[in-house]
Amino acid sequence: MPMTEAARIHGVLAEFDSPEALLQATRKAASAGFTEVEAYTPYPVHGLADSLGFTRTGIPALVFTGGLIGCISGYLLQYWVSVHAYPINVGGRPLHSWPSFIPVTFETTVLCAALFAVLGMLGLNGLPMPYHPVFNIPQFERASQDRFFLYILSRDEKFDLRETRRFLENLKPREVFDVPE
Amino acid sequence: MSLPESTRTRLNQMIAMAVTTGLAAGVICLIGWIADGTQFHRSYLIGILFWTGLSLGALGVLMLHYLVDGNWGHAVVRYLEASARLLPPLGLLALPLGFGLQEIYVWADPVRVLGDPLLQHKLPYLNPGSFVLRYAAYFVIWSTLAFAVGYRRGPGLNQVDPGGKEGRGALCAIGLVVFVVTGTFAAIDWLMSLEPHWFSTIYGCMILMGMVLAGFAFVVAAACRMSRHLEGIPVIPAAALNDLGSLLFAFVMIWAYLTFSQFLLIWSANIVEETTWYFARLDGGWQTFGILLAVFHFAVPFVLLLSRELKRSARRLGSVASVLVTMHLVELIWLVVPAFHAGHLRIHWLDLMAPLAVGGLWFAGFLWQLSSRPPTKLEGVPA
Repeated sequence: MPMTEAARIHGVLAEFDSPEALLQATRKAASAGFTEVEAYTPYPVHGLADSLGFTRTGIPALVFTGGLIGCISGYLLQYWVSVHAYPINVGGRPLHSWPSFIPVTFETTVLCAALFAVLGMLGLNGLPMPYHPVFNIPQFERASQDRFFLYILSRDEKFDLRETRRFLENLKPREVFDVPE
Repeated sequence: MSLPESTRTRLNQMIAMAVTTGLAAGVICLIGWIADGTQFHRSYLIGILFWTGLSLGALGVLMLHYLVDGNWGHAVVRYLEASARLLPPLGLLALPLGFGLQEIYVWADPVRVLGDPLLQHKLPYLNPGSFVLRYAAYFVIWSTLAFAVGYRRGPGLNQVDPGGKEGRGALCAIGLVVFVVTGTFAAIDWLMSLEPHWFSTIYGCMILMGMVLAGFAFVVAAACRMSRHLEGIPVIPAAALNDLGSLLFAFVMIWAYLTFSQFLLIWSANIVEETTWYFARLDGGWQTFGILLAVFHFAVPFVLLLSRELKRSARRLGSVASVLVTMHLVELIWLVVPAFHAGHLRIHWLDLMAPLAVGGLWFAGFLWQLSSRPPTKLEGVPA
C-alpha cells in the first residue's frame, strides 16, 4: 500500500458478534499495548469501560463545581432580592430569613449540578460531532443494533496498518475494515 | 457455612464482654431506679428507643432488600436479619416502662388530665390501657415480620434467592406498608405524646426515617468492621460498598429533608401551638444539639459520602456510618429530654447509662445471631 494512502487512514475497525467477543478483544488489545482504542456497542456492556482503561473522568469534579455554583448563586440571588432589590416585611420576620431561602438554594444546587453533568458529559465526549470517519463504513450502522465494534485509531503509537490489521484479524472478528479519514 | 475457630472464639469473647457491660450498666440503672424512679423511666425510654430504632430500621431495609433485590443487600442481609430478629427481646426489655408511664407521659397522670380539657379530649387514644395494647401490637407485628421475612424454605442459607421465588416479595411489599403505618403510630405514641398538646403531621415519617438511617448505618458499620477484622467473614466487594454508601447518602438526604421540612413549616407559620416544640429545643443550651445534628447528622456525612473513593473503602465508610449511629443517639436525646427540661440543657448520667445497659444485651444478641447465621460468601453473586 502506498504511503500516501496509509497516511489517510483514520483507523482499523473490527466487527464482532457478541459482547463477550468484544470484551475479550478489548482486553487483548490493551495487553498488546494499544492505548488509542474505542469500542462501540448497541447497549452498555459491563466491564467494557474498565478494559478500555476508562476509569477516571472529569465528571465528578464538574458536577461538584456546578453544585457549588448553583448553591452559592441561588442563595445570593434570594439575599439580593429580599434584602436589597425589593425588601418586604413579611410578618415582622427579618429580611434575611435564611430558613426560607433553603428550598430554592437546594433546587438551584441540583439544577446547576445536573446541567453541568449533562453538558459536561457532552463536552468531554466531544459532542455534538457532525462528522466521524467510522460512519464511512456502511456495516457500522449495526453498532446501534446487534453488532459490537472495536476500533484502533491510527494515531496510536503502536499503529501500523498491516500489523494492526493482522492483529485484529487474529481476534476472530466477522470482518475488519480500514477506515479512511 | 461455618466460621473458623479463631473467629468463633473472638465472637464468644465479644459476646461475653457485651453481656458483662450490659449487666453491669443494668445494675447501675437499677440503683438509679431506686434512687430516682422518675429519672430512671425517662432515661430508660431513651435506652429502649435507641436500640428499638436500630432493629426496626434494619427490618425496614431488610424488607426493601427482599423486595427490590440487589448486590448491596446480599452483602449485608445477615447483619440486617441479626438486627431485626432482636425485636422480640426488645419488646420484653421495654416492660419496665409500663411501671412508670405516669413519670414519662403527662397524659398518663389522672390528676394532670383532670385539669386539662385538651388531654381529656385526647383520652380515648392517649390512655395507659390502649397505649400498652398498641405497644404490644407493634412488637408482635414487627417480630412476626422479622422472622417471617427471614424464613427460608427453599435454597440453603448461603444461596441467593433472586426476588420472590419463595413468594417473599409480596410479603415484603405488604410488610413495608404495615411497617410505615405501625412505625408512624409508634412514633406518635412514644415520642410525640411526650408533649401531648403539640402535633406535627410529618413527625412519624421523620422519626421512622431517622430509625431506618441509624439501623442501616449500624449494619454497614458492623459489616465493614467485621469483614475487615474477622477471619472467615467475606470481604465486601468495592462495588457493593459503593452501593451501600450511596444508599446511606440517600437516607441522610431524606432524613435531612423531613427534619428540615418540619422546621421550615413551623417557622414559616409561626403559630404559638407549634413553635413551643422548637423553643424547648433551640434555647438554653439545646441549640448546641441542633447545630450538632445539622453538622454531623447531615452536612459532614453528606459531603463525605459524595466521594467515590471513600465509599469504596470499608474502613472509611464504616467510620462515617459509626458517626451517623452516634448522632442518632444525640438526636434521640434532643427529641426526648427537652420535653422534660424545655429550653434548659440538662442531661442526667442515666440518659447515657440506660442506652449502655440495653445496648450491651442487644449487641450480645446481635453477635450471637451472626455467629449462628454467619455472613458467608453467597453463591451466584458476582465479586
